[in-house]
Amino acid sequence: MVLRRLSDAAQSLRAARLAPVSSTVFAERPLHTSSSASQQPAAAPSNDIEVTVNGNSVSIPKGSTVMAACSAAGIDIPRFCYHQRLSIAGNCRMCLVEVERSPKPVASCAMPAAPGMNIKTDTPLVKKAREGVMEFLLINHPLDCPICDQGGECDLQDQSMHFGSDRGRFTELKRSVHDKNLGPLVKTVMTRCIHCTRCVRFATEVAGVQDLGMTGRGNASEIGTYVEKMMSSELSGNVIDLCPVGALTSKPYAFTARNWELRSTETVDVSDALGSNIRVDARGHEVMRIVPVQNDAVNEEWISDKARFQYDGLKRQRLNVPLVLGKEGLESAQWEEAIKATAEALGKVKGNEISFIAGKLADAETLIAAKDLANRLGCGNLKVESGFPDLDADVRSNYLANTTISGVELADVILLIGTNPRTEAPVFNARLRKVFMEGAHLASIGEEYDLTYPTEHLGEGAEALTKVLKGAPILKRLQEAKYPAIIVGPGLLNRLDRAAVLQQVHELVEKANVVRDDWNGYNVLHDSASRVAALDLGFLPSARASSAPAPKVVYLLGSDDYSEEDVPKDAFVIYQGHHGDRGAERADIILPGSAYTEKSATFVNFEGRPQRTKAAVPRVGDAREDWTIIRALSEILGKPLPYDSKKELRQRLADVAPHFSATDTVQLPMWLNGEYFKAFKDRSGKVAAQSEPFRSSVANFFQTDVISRTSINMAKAVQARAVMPHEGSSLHQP
Amino acid sequence: MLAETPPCAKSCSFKDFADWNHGLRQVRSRSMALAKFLKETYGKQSVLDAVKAGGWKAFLDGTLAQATLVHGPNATLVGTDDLGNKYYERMTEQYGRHRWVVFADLSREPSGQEPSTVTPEWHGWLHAITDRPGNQLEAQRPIFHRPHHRNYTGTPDSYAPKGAWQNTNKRNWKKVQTWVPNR
Repeated sequence: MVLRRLSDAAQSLRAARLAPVSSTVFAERPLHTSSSASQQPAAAPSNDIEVTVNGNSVSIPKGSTVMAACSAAGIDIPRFCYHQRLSIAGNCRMCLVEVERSPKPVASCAMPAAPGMNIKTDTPLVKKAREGVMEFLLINHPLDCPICDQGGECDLQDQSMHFGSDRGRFTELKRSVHDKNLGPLVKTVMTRCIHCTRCVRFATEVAGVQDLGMTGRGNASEIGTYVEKMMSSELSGNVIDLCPVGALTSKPYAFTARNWELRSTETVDVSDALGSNIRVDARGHEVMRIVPVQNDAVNEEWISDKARFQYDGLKRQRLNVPLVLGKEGLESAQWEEAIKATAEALGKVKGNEISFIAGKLADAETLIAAKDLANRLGCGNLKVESGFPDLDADVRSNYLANTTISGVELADVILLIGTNPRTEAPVFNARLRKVFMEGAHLASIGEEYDLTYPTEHLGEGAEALTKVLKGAPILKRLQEAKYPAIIVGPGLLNRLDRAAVLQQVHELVEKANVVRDDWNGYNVLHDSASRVAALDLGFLPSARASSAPAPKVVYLLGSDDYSEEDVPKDAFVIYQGHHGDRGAERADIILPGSAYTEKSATFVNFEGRPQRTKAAVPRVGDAREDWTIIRALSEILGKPLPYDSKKELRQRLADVAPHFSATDTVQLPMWLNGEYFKAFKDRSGKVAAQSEPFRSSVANFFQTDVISRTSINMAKAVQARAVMPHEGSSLHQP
Repeated sequence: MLAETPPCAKSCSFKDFADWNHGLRQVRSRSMALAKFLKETYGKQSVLDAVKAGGWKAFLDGTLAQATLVHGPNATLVGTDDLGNKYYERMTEQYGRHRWVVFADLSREPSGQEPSTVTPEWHGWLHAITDRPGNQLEAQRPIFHRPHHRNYTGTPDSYAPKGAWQNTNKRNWKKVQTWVPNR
């Protein structure tokens, strides 16, 4: 396929160019993936061609562009429309270079390099061409940089400093364009648009929604939605980063800060289990915006709208002082009193009458400290909220995305079981779409969702799985595929009949030969940031937990989505967390912790990659870092935990689960040849597979955890989906 | 024939007599014009009411006296602006003093003269920049037009930016809103 070959070439080039600057340590994997390719020289010598750039000879892979040749020679070509991850448009003409024996300057982004080509980028002709293009672009571009949100980080502004004239020759009126309403997240000032069509290409190619397009011709051409509708993609915020000018900017960030005032911290997102790498931009104590950081192995350079826009939730309903239930309700207290009251409550009851429930945003350090403390108290009732507390965590490959996130790109047949990656991990869904665009076949079992790419829908529930096992065509396809993959969603793990369904899935894994010597195609998707770390560290109910009495004291580690039966009415509840929500409403003691932007903590994503957040802003009020609260509590309880510093705590993490010692890398788990899963046969007898369809665990993408529920931006996004017409809504009539 | 006996009848000539009569007629017509002007200016039925309503200020305020008592009678009322200011013209006056305004709101201390109440439409006419009176402007008002008001500097109505201590809407400088328990 031409498309695939082109993108492969572009990808390896990209990797070769990006590898030296990328700080990410990629997974050491036996497989040949795009990420492992980045550690090797670009390609075999037979595939290379020699070209000359400004007199220097460079060798580049066959089929790459003139621009790629220039960047291989270390020359940066100015550009607006060209973007590595999007198709080539070649319409801005900013990247013109001179090629010997070519009558005119050529657009380097679209021109394939030929052997022996002599490219020149520093001649008067090139300079004149660039100045001419810049003058044309500035004809209709307003001179409103002082009131433009892109000011200071604008490609057009920067390049006009190099190639722009100091005076204009244009005396006519400038063109003006009506602004478009794309919803509550993306702001448009369409007069500033230079028609690079990056946003259009992103929407159609990466996000997979046909929302944006260009209407009109020549001077009348406009980027827009044609009829007013919101962008229906969960990745819509990325067009803000893509836009080289200030035509598409962030609505919540509008007029709040200038980019030179901001202090950036590169950290990790916790809004879903993907662990997207993000940059938190803060001014003083306030998070002003969140933008993606490139990590080819995880999120490429995209983040979801939730990761990008939920930051205003960090400024609302925060817990800033310890609160203890007194005569007049919850009263603010000193830390000493609060910890003593907590210790008293925990000390009064027997070990197995205590229950610890971790929330979606609990970090690995807190989980291990809580687990160690619980075990010292003789308590084994450990749980992660909302679902599958009793999933077997003995074997890591049982609950991880073994193919890894970037490894999925190799897959040629993919079966999705009970998952909607579009809401569970939208950036991963974009990668699945990329796999589809490169020619892979995707099939799904479970409730039908619009995934932005077509899938062969095999049925809704367990009976479809049985049918596949009995020899539906997809089985043959999986068997014959070179790299088959099965992706199981968190919704399926939540089911009562999980054991029976998983046993069928594993039978299929074995039958379809999804796990091979050099390829593990069994993947489990998760929907919350704390889940994999909890499973890795064994933050699970102990063997005796099932026979424990109803808990008298419940310790909530930021848990707001606990189920009612886990927290009995008469239980004494201690809530440790950063937001006042359902958990804090119920609590008798509140211990204020810190959010993910305020602490350095470890989270593990669903491929098993431990990543560390960094503190971007100080903690709120009298709040403390979460693990230190538990450490202090253990001291008062007379059962001190054996670590006094974060370094020692992380050593403890590495002792419990060795992969915590190597952050930013994936340590591929053992598969055990499927022997382990044969044990499922013994367990599946308890609850037989039910006919209920497999459902995704995330129905409302924008509001999943306590931060996104508190966020006004997310509430507006939910409201807009209900009110504004968009792709797939009944309100939208084309 | 003679309505009144002139006080100097014994020694005066016909010329003196005519002058006297002429002067009397002038005083009469002037005082009638003044009375008319005062009633008109203050919108009252009688001169006494007009004086009570603020005409007395003319005895304290030279500018007002000039406008009302000296210039005012026999002047032409050219027009009135949105705020009620009256614009007069009398071409027999010295050039530069031939157009003047009598302000509608004379209550403000100390003199009641507030030049910034002259509306932009009348400003040009008043200062002899144009001969077209403010009420005859043909230009359409722009969509962003707001009614004219006086300069509020130094008054409680003056503009105070957000965050200024004069601003009564106190800005919340707290960046983080904390949770308040219901119990």
